[in-house]
Amino acid sequence: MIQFHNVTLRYPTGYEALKGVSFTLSKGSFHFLTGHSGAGKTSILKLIYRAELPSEGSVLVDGRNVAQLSRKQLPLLRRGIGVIFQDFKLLYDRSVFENVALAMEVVGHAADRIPGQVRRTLQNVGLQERMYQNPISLSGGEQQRLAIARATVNWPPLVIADEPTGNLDKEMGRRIIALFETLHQQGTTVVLATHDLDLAAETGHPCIEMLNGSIVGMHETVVENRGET
Amino acid sequence: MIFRLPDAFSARRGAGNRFTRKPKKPSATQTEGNAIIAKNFHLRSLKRAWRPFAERSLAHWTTTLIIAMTIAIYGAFSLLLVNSNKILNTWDDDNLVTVFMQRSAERNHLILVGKTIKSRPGTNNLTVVSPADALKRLKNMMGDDAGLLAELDENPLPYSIEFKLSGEDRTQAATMAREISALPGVEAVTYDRQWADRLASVISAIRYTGNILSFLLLGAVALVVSNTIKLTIIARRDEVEIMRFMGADDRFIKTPFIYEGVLQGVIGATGALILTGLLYLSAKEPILNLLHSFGTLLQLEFLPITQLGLLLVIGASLGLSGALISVSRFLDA
Repeated sequence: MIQFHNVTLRYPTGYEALKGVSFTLSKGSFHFLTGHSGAGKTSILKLIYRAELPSEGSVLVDGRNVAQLSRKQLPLLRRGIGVIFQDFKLLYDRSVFENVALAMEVVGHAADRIPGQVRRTLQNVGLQERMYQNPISLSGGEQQRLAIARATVNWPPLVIADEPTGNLDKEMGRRIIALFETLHQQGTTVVLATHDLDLAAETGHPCIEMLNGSIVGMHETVVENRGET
Repeated sequence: MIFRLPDAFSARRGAGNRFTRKPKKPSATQTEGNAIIAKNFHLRSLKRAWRPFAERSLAHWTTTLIIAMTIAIYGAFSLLLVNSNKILNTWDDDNLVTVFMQRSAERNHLILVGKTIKSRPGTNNLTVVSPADALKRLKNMMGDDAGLLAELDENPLPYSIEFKLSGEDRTQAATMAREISALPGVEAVTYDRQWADRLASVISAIRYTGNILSFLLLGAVALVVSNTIKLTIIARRDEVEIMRFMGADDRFIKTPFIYEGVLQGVIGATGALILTGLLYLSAKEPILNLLHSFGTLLQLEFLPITQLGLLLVIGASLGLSGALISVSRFLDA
């Protein structure tokens, strides 16, 4: 599903966010990206949905080199990836319903399918009662769930999330992780970037440990990672 | 809390490569709450484009007002040209030549001039206007101000001879006027064609000036529209970025902005039609009075339907071009 071959991401200032990173994630897997702030977790996610282009090396998603996608092909790649941003990137001039509906409109779903599908998805994340409210009135956890609903409403084969539990308490963090678990059980490939090792350890999924733009360990579980470090 | 995936999710899985599958085109209407879910993509884009107007965005309405005023200036020029051409055509049809005799001219001078005119081909309706008849006409033309003429000790108007030129001989008016002017006792020769030519020159100058002015103004308006759309794009930069990350293609992102520009243009042009209509209604009476004082009995015309349609097209084109400039500069970058 995702292959990084010796990827380096260098900014014009000369700062190297990633240095020769290589790994492969298979279809239907669930992986954590761990590491402290600035380790390169977000950079990896950005390269997957081509918000950034690698300075060296190649990034393959579903067998295709993302750097070689044309302007017309790029939207098709992104439609297959549900991205949950660290800052949610919700639209605060639209209702909860409209935020989720936009993801379906963008993809070009038939208009008659949108309301029902959005309603069901919001129900799944427990936001059906807040459907017509503005996202600004939601709590941090609710906004996180709204971001998840928006990212998953089109049933993408790949979901990536940047610090999805970053601003949440432990209990809400567990609930959010449970949402991703459910997605994973349905066959979705999930990649979560987090620095919350406790929460990640509870899931038993493999993790890629990062430090200063390099991979310093590939662990079968976060527990194993913690044991080593 | 339990996260349940949509029922259709499992069924859709495995149905081809979802990274490459193109979505089906929207086909039906269903709305819910405040969601912008319309019958099709264009209606949805149009609704989205209408939002700033409905929310009374100052930038959008200011731009629309500028468009209205600019096109109204163009409309006023058009109105002037349409009615000037109408006057020109009336004068052209009359083609009356008037020979004014000197006040000292004698009867034999008058007879010589009359005979000379009659001897020329294409002349007809020859009439001798006495000073008394000329004064009567002047009094009629002056209307309420005719009382001023009562102060005159004697009639200052000379004899004159009027005649019409017909057919191809009308073009000979200038030559004939020169020849008749040379006859003894003749003070001056005027002919409508001369006035028509002068008016045609004035109309041509108005048209030329109007075209240049309109071109400059309309160009400026396109840039104003472009700037407004640019501000909208900047204000919605985050939204555009989010949509791109969701997989929106160029068409999805650009179309609402383009509709926004076209809406500004069409609303502005409609405003211009109203402004031009108000201008026509307010100026009609004074202009008619002025024309009547010159003895011209003419009804003014408003712009024909084709010209009104043209104003709307100009408005829409301005909005479209302004939007395209911004969209290509700020979204394609």
